[in-house]
Amino acid sequence: MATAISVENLSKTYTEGLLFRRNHKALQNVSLDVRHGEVFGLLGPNGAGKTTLIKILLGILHPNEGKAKVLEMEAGSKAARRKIGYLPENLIFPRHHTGRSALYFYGRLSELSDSDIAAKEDELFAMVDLKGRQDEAVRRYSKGMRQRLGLAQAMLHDPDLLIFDEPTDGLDPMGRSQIRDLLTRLKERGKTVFLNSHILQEVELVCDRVAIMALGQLRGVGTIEELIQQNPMAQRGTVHLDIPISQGNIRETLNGFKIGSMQVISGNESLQRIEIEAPEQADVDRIVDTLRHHGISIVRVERYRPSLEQVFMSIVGSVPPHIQS
Amino acid sequence: MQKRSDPMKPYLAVLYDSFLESVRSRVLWILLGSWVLILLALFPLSLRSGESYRIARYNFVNNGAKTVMDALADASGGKGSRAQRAIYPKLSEDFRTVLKQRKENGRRISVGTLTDEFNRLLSSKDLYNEEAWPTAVRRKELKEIIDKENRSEAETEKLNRKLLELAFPNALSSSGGQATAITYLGITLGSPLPMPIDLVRNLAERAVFPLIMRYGLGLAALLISIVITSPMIPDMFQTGSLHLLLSKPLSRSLLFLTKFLGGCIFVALNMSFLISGLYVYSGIQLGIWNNGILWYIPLFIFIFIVYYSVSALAGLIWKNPIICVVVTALFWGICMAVGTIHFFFDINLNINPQTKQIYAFRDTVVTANQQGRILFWNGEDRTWNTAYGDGGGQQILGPVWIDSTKSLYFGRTEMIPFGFGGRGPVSLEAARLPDLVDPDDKTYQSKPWADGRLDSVGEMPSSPIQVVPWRNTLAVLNDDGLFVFDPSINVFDEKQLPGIGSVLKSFGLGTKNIVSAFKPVLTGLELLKPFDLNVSPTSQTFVAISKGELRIWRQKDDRLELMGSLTLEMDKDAATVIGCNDEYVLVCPNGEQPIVVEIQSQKVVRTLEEMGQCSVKQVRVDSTGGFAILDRERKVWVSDRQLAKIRMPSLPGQSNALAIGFDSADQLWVAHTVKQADRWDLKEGKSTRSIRPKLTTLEYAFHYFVHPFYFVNPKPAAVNETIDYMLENPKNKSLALDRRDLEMPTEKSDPWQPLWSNAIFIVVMLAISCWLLYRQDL
Repeated sequence: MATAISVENLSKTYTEGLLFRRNHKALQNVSLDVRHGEVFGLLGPNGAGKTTLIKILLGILHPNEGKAKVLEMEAGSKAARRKIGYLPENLIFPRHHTGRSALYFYGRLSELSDSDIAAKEDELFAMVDLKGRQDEAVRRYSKGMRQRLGLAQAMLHDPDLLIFDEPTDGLDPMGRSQIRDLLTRLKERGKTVFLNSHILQEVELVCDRVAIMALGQLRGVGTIEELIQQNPMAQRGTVHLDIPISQGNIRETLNGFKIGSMQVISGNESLQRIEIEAPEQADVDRIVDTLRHHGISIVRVERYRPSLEQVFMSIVGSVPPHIQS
Repeated sequence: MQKRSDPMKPYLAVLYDSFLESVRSRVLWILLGSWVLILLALFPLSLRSGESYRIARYNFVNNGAKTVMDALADASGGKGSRAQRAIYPKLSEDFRTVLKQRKENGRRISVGTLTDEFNRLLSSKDLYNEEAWPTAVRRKELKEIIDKENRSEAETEKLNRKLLELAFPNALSSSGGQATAITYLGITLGSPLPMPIDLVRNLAERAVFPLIMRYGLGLAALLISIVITSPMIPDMFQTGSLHLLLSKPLSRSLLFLTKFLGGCIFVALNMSFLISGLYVYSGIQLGIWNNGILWYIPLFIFIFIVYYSVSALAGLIWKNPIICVVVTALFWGICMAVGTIHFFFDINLNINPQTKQIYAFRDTVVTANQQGRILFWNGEDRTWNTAYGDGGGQQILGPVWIDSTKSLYFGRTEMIPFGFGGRGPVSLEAARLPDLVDPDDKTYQSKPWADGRLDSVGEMPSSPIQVVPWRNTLAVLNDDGLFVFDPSINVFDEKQLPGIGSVLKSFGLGTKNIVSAFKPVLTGLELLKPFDLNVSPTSQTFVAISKGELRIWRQKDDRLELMGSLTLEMDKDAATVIGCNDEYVLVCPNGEQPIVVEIQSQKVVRTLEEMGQCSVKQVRVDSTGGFAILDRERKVWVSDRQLAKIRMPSLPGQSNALAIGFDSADQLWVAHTVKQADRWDLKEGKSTRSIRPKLTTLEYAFHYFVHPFYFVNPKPAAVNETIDYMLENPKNKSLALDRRDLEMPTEKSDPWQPLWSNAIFIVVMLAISCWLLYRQDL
């Protein structure tokens, strides 16, 4: 299957300082593929190299090593850029524009004729919920409105690949929901979306596959399920049991079982949550039977599945995540 | 699928966006509003032609102030004409006292004081009396005023001015009564200028406009433009907007250049508005429709682009508008410093003092320069030694070598210390060249070449324009005619005071009984400006041109006899240079093709089309009648005696010549390029002697350090020369020129050259910017 984005051993080093030159490795041997028609999420803490990767894909930065291709074309080439719609992080529109004039300006930059832009502007303004506000000066727009206008200009020339850098930044929950719907529609139309976001829930909801980066390195790529399953936390086969406090200590009851570990991880005045490592379902059945045999009430039994956030945290490790929940 | 439009469309969109940004920004409207206010404030300022007979300093001609004061001093003793005697009692008591002191102890009176006194006299109601001015009533215009019982102030002023002119006919120039008032909202500001409105316009075009363009618009508007446009490039680098721009299918370089062009268009809009407004104002209110003002629009934008290319590069590197302005200001400062240093070196080593005349007497090469110095070549030291002159800017006429006295004679204007009262009369000086002096010759008392120790022969006929060889002596030419010097006359009966003699003389001390050493051979020509005269090398033919009328005289029985005259088809107001042999006269009107007149037939036989519409500076004729012509483009042309074949020899100094002169062997000496000279053998077509002075320390510094640095340094200020060139109305070029203007030092400059050198600088700066942008990680 043809890839929309193909990155191979990409490395980028910045040189900083005027007198005392220091090298900062922003990307180290990053390789990944994004397939056509998928929504691909790029995750990572600040400084992980996500924006550097996007800038290389757009030709804004030149890599030191490695290759990057976009839509089978050299990354950064004019031909490739014609087929990309881009929404940058912290987008600033020139103050002298209205919503409409800005759309026309960026449309013309994308080599569209005015008639093409005129044919699409109403639909786009409606899609990003700016209908009726398009003739207002952008300097009076809220951050969310500017973000939505940015999305409109990115979609204006009907690109094959959309690169969104924090598209929901500054949007309210309603706006975020609209963006998710938009991404879904784009996916339905066969567009490839490359999404860079801090909001893991959002990524979890819309992305087919994700990549997690930290300190310029790629730490994991795959579907969310694959990432979770590959995670050691999921592979340990942990079971959570919620048991009333009044039932006393169950550790003695289960003394004879061969289990990896058992610990009380949390609880409240009435319930205690016990985590038991039991990778096999037969072990779980036997534990439940034994407890019930001893008359111990079980409020809830749940096989533990780590969240994307937990997986992210475990991959990123000690890197401060600054993750919004 | 969308139609892909023109690939240039994105750049046009950026350009349009820059325009939109300008239109929607307050800055444009504030600027345009300011320009409107300036133009509205300027519009009521106007010129009005009027009548005034007031006297200005320059109305005293031919050293007229001195003549008038001498005459008035004589009048106090009952001498002089009746008119002069009638004027004296009308002078103020103070002025009469000063006159007395002048007479008794040589107290100086400035021309300004005399002018003020005469202007006071203009309002005198009882200056006229019939006995003193018996001829006044013969003039119709004066008779009408004289006959009036009640004269208006203006009529009194006119009458009195004319009476003063009649009293001092050769000292006070005639006034047409034309004056120009400067008005604002119809109110006259100050006293009217005593000059016709055309002259005021001429002055405005030549002096005021360039000043405004250089220092008003050139500095103020440029600074405003630089400050206003400085954020344009750094703004492009705001992360949020730049990355979006770069994600579009645009070339970085073209994006930058388009943004750059946008800034230029913004300035162009502003300056077009302002300068067009000034053009319309100047035309409607001042009557000056000078298209050079409109040419200033592209030239100003060009200068702006030079500075903006620096600002843009600084914007690319530092992304900060304040740094852009600071760097541009630094660039301006460096250019100005380098330009100023180069200018002072250049003016003192390269341009000034420029050689005005060159002669060779036997083996000694002598030059006269514009500072009034006479220099002779010292071959041993390879230097030009000063023979005479203090560098004070005196005018030198000649020199001419007279064999019988073994002396070199030259006319010079005597400078009056500290410039009080302008220049003194031209006197004839005699000096000897060291290597030509006979050691046993005891007749010459003073040391040769020591300033102030030359023999002053005496004052020459008034306003001489040339001192030329005449048989075995010399002749002085002026607007009256030709006067021959008699070298046998002992000119002084009293020794001049050594050392400080010339200074004392200038104060009127150290008086000498001067015996006229000049014999008039031909007088009463009353030549009107512009005019010129010349004598053939054989002294057989004398020619004069005045207001387009050529007159030719021939030697007959020791007298000059008028052969005839003809009116030439040429601009009669054009300054003209002429030269002749005994068969042909060459007439060179300024800015026209030289005309050849055959003396025998007194007809124009040809024009020298090869030379084009040129401006001739010097014409020299050798003993065989061959011509050498030097034009103000510094080209030397030579021809046979019939002026049938004219050519430009390719010899050292060609196209860079400053002065030319034939020696006794008919070889042409050409002074050129920074004190250099070559002797051209025109028959052999080669240089037979070259004079190349050794460089002084300062000259070394100039040639090997200052000039190379200046050469590579950008020169935006040099575009001012192009602006001056565009502003100068071609009509004005011939209006104010006379023969002496043609002899003025020339600066070889191409008005378009600064455009080329600065265009190269712009291209280099933009190329560096584009390269940097291409390489830069943004």
